[in-house]
Amino acid sequence: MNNREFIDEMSVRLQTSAKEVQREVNSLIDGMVSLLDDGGEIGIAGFGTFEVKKKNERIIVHPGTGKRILVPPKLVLNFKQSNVLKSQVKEKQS
Amino acid sequence: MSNRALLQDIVNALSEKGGMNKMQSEKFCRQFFSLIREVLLRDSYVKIKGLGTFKLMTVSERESVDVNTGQRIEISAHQRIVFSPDKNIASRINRPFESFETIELSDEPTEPQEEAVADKVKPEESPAGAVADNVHTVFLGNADAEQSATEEPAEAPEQPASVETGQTAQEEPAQEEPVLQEPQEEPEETPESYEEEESGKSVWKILGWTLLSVLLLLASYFAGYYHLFGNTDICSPLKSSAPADTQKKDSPAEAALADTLAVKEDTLAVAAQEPTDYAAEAAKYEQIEGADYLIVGELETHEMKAGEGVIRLAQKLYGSKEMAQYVIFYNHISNPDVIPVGRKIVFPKLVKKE
Repeated sequence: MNNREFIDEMSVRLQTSAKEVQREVNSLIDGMVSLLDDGGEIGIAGFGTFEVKKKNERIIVHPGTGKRILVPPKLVLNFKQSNVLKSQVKEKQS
Repeated sequence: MSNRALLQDIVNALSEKGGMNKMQSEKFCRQFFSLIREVLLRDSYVKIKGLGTFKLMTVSERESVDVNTGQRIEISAHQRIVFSPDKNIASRINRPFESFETIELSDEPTEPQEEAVADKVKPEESPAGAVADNVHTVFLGNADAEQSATEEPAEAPEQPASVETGQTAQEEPAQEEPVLQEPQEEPEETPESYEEEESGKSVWKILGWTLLSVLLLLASYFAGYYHLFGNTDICSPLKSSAPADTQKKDSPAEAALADTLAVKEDTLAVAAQEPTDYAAEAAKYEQIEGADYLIVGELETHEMKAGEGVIRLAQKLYGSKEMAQYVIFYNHISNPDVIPVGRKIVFPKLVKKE
């Protein structure tokens, strides 16, 4: 399901316009980013955890040219599924 | 974790930013996440603009080992959720580090790194050889220790044991101690002797066996030694290199560590193109006693706005909250929790102490 379908589905369920929903989704994501910016994590019960992790800098060798490249450290957003969701996925499968 | 945010925190943030009250916001959030879950289970793919993509990926079955019982078990094929963040959100999350760029390294730091690799090989090699070779390394200079370890197995089959045993017996009074340490060497060195000793009693067999293997080891070693270096000055390094030998065990590991550290600092220095003479710079500034980092200059000046804190700024700028103490110290901030809006804070440039 792509973004549009998702927004449409939301608007049907909440009985608001799609435009409104998209705006709220954007500010929801903004809110999440600012929470994550504090170096914390967001846990959503029954869904999972969003967490920012630091990846250390590392040196790689370009396989084609053989040059050594220093890759800078970066912060990455991680998602870890909760056990509830995990078991739901399992159930769906069986 | 102490600063773990929950759904309620998102709801609060949303009701502040968006055009809805708290009740509506909460309903919206719950709907948002439950719809993701629902669609994910149905279509196994949800893409949300600005956040990212949730996907169900199939993991094929694989074999593993039960941690408790050690038995082989099969992990059946299953699906797992994979989240790949949107480009937009990824760059927003990475904002504190966005100033860094990938750098192509010149060949210059290649050498220390290769040395480090070589150094790392040493400690791996030497424990294998060194336990068994304790006796041998005593006679060698430090630099030769490895050589003997590597040459020995190669030369052992070439040299007949009986030729040199007389010499080794004279020169090695302290054999009995290492005998206990090297039962693992036996199978390699003395396959021929196995048949000869079969008839003896088991205890004597083992004892004789180990003794024989030690003799063989010594013999092959000396054979190699004389062959390579001639019969010169065997006894003098005996005393001097004994303490040096113990040092040697520690030093390669340290050297490797120091080398890798040096490489890291090297590359970091290249990255920022900073001057290397920090000591002189550091002397100009007041330093925190016993701290890990030296203040060597000023990085940038920042005017405090409402809602900002030193700790969070330090986290953004340096990537660690710990660094806030240097900022607080450098700016003589008496209470970091209460800083007047508009106060100019100078962020010091920090360099790790050596």
